Amino acid sequence: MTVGEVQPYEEALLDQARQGDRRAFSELVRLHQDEVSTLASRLVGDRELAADVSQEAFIRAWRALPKFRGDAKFSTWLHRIVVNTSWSVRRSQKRHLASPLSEVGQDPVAPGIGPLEAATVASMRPRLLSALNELSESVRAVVVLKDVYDWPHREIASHLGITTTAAKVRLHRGRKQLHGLLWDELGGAE
Amino acid sequence: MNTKMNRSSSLKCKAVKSLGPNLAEASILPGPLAHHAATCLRCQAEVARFRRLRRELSSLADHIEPAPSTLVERVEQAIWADAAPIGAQHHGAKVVATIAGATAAAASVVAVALWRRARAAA
Repeated sequence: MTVGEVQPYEEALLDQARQGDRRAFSELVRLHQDEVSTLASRLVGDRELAADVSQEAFIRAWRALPKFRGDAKFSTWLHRIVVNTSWSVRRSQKRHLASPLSEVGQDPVAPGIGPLEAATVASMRPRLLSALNELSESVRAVVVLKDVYDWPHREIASHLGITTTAAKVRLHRGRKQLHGLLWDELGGAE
Repeated sequence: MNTKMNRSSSLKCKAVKSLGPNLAEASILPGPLAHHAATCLRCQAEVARFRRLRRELSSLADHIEPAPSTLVERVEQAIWADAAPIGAQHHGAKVVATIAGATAAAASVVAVALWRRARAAA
């Protein structure tokens, strides 16, 4: 299926799922499971908990589906649900496990960059993910949503229940901490 | 003379460093600091580190990790056990109400017809 064919296919599935068609919704889950799981994993920093968050987010999406009017892309709407879910699940399940780093850094690197930079990015990625997990949850959420997913400050603040200024402060703090944690990888000594 | 210049340069380095993560933004440096940073290797390295950090973070957006193999199954089990979405329930309720209304109307017509027949027979 080409990129151009995905959207009409997804819209047809959405129409069916809105009418209560569970099979159509399952297909939507199949289409979006990787991105939802990745976002959840980055927000909560724990793969096991991320699986619970992803499951809960899809269930919430199923229940709220009739309210989805298509103003935003379905994936954007899903991402917002993942953020809200990870926040509420994290609040109720306070535990922290490190991500198994052996599983990361083996996938293809970001498209659109040269082979030399691609190799550097890939070699740094496990350390970057590990450093992200060292940030506090509240700081990590802001850094992930702004610097990885490019959400506007206002939207981040609204989803995390904080002011825009607080979001900017956390972002500044998070970037500074990452800079310190990744000092060697970013170029090292002066 | 050289000591004076070094001290001034060191103060500017501190001023650049104090901007921290904001250094990744283009044109954040005010005029005199921008001029200093253009010739100071230490400040250039600081700017480069923050810019690289931003690039690395941004590149994570394209790095999608596979979901756990059981996720779809888990969601399916949950939604099959769950009621239909609220809007779909409303849709179902509308259908039931329409059928009930039509049945009641049909029953009234039959009742009137039977009553008329009984009256005519009497």
